[in-house]
Amino acid sequence: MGKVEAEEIRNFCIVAHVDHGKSTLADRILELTGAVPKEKMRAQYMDQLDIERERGITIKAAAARLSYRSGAGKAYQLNLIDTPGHVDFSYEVSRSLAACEGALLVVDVSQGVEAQTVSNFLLAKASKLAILPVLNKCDLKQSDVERTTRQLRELGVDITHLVKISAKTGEGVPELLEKLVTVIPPPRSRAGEDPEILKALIIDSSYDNYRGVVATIRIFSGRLVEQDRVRLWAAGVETVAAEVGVFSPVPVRVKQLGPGQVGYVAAGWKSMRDVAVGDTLVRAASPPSAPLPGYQRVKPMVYAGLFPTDGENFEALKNGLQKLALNDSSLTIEPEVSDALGFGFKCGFLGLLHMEIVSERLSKELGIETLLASPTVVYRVYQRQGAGETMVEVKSASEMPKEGADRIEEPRIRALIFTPTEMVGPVMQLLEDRRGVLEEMNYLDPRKVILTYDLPLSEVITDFYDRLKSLTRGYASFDYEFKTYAPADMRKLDVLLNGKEVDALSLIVHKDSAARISKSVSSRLAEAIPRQLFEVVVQVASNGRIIARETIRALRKNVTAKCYGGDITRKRKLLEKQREGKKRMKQIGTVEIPKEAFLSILKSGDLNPPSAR
Amino acid sequence: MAAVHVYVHVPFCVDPCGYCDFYRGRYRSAGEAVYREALVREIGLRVPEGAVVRSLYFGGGTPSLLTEAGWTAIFNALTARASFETGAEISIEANPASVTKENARMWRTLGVNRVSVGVQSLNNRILRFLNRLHNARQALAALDCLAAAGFQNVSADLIYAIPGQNLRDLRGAVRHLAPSLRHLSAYALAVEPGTPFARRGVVPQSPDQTAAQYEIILETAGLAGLRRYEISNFARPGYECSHNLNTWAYGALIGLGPSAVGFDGRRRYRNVPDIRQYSVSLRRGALPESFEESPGTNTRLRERLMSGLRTRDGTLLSTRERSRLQKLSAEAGLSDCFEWPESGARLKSSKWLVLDEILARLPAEEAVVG
Repeated sequence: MGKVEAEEIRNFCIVAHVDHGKSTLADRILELTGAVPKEKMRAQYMDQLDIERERGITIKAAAARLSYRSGAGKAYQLNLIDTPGHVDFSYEVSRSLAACEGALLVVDVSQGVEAQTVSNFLLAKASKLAILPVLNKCDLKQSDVERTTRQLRELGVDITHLVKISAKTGEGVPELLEKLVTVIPPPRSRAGEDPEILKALIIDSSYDNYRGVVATIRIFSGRLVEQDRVRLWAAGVETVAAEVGVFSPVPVRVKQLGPGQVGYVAAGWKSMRDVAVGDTLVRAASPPSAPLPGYQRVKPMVYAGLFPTDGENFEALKNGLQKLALNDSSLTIEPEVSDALGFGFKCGFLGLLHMEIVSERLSKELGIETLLASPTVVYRVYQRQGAGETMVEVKSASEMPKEGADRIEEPRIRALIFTPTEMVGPVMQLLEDRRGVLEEMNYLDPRKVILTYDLPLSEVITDFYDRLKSLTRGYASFDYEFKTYAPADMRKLDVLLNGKEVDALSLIVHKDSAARISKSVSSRLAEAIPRQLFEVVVQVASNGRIIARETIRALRKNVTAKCYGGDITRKRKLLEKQREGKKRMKQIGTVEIPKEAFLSILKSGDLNPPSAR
Repeated sequence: MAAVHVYVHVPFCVDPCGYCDFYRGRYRSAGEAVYREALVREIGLRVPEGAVVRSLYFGGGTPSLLTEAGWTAIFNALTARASFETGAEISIEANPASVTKENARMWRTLGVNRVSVGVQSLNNRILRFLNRLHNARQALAALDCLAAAGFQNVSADLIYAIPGQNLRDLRGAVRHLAPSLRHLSAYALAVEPGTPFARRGVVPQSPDQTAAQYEIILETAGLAGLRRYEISNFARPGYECSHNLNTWAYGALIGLGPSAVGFDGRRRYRNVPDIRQYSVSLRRGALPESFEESPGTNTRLRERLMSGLRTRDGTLLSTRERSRLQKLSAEAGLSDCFEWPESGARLKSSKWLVLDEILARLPAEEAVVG
């Protein structure tokens, strides 16, 4: 491999709304640059390596080095840097963007600009990237190139170099590559940086059975050579760079990486937690005075109980989660025991989609069916202590301090909602119901509205997206970013069955919805709990005051009319069946509760009374 | 030799009732001949030589359809091998339509001393709904007829929880019948799979309404001197059905006839529920069984509780079984359901109607046996 001047390097990423063709375009680029021969090409090449990584045999290609010769005959080294596909990973996305000089902003012309198109564009703009707008699916009949172009212009995207392609057929992709090398600038050293001192940004990390943790890096200054003693700035961990290479897209050992280059390094790191995205890799012998900017320790935003649907699967769930956490440092797990659901885990997620991805991977890749219970955001609960006050983070209703709180803060988000104009009324009503505060309303064109709302995160973590989709017949799109913590009048609701508190059913709700939700919870429980030998009183209390109550009358009759000599075997079997049914119920005090009763409360975010559905 | 209890299943009906799930077919005289011959063979196989019969019960189907020749053959076969204890209870179930002066006299002559009449209701609309052959007038006439023939121990069956039935109907029926009865059985309608009612989608009244009807029957029968001694059975003192008491006390039972179940305290069998196979098997000299089981200690205890707790006397338990059960029922939150006589355990009278719920809540029998 010849020495490459930084002048010939182009570091770029592809950003798009979901299903707008990002992976297909990546496939075409890999093919056109000869990185993957056509006969070996599988759809969504970069994505599929993920699965192999799961089996511990291949490093995930978080970046691919490609060779490209332009029409003018000039050779380039292209580094296509993968970005996580969802806003929950907006921090990781921002780090991937920081490793690039340019971004291809892909828009499906049959759909037009969507929520993630905008959030990706804003992120790329904030990272000061050169943005090359790419209109995809131009071969489709229902494509509306004009409209999408107008929308992009409205958004403030420079459309001078707009490229029209079909990632599926490959049409326009060669022209796209030509544009890419002219529009996207080569890497430049930053002002005030010593070109000799190593500073490399961790873009991604994955776990490999043979190499340990493998980090994908972008060199900003200096040179990384195998056998260098290196240090992770934030983690403070020092090791030796055992292997340095590039993905092309299969791993190729190159022994060293220079300024502007993207590649991987394996340095005998044992824990994914140490190799954090955004951290700076430096040479132990000659560290810089400061790390690269922008590093954050990501913290889970949403917590939920994860329980095996079948109690006997606990061990499988435990192993499965540990396996996932090995490659997903943003997933936190701690054991949890619920009165209602038995043994499980309290898991911390970056957001909604992260939560769904984890439960989907458990099911699809590992065959473990799980139950997500009581998703809760992280509340900050303040209590006065002498002259000052203390703050605790509360991740579930049961962690709420018994002695109450002086004030509570909840996380709020900035939400971008794209909706067809004719549905804007119901959508705004939904947002009002969710305690949203309208910040901005923009017409992208006469048919599409962008709403910017300030919303409590707690209001979107359950069924918000489903409701939004059903209100707009699937046309709305939604994206959000964490904004800030703000004071909120939250209440803890306790559920009591015959006077005994059932911790698994406690909820944290806003004052304004406390009455409605209490009523809904009590009536759902009264509906789902079968009649017992004695009367069961269901109460919902807030601050020790009962605010909703239902009574389940005692069972009056459950006995077979006839039991003679000929009936005994059959009757015994019927009773065994009844007893099996009872085994599946949880006993709280002397009250037997079927799992479905818990689910009707824990799983559903829609806590309207059942009749209103 | 210990006294034995014998059940004989008579699998014929004129026109089967919508709710009935016992094995029965339409009565034909040729069928009776086949049945009679096979039953006589089975008596030879199952009733021990020299046995002393304490109770003999003919159930069905409709035993009252059997002809004199049939009865004579069956009784001859029995008395050829066994004798009746003094005061032995000999019951037959009878349909009001087949209770005639002649039949009643014949049954008396055979030694039958207890007749259970399938009255079911005194409301003609409901009788038609049940597909019964008789009307209320005929039912009352049947009771008179039996009294005239000298039967003292007469029982009637009633059914409640039938759609459209009300409390007044039931109270009226019990009041009207009680003076002619020593014994009353009242059963909540149950729609069993495979019955005409199940096919027609008949749904009994709700558990709450059923409970209310039961309580009316309990109260009215009690006022008329018929005391409850089992969940569905009421009798004047001394007239409790000794055949069934034996079953609830988990006693041994010889079962004869197609689909009959027998139990010797260890092994339970069920005869094939098909008259042809029943007869073919016996002609070859084989027992006509299509099912057998020998419940283990734990299952036996569960069955003892299941049947014994249905009765006023409860279940007899060993000291160890009794204290285990006390402990476990307390743990299951069932303490206030039981009374604990020296002899074992019984249900408080207020809990009789939720017996199945209590049994289902009791921990596994393994735990009870310890």
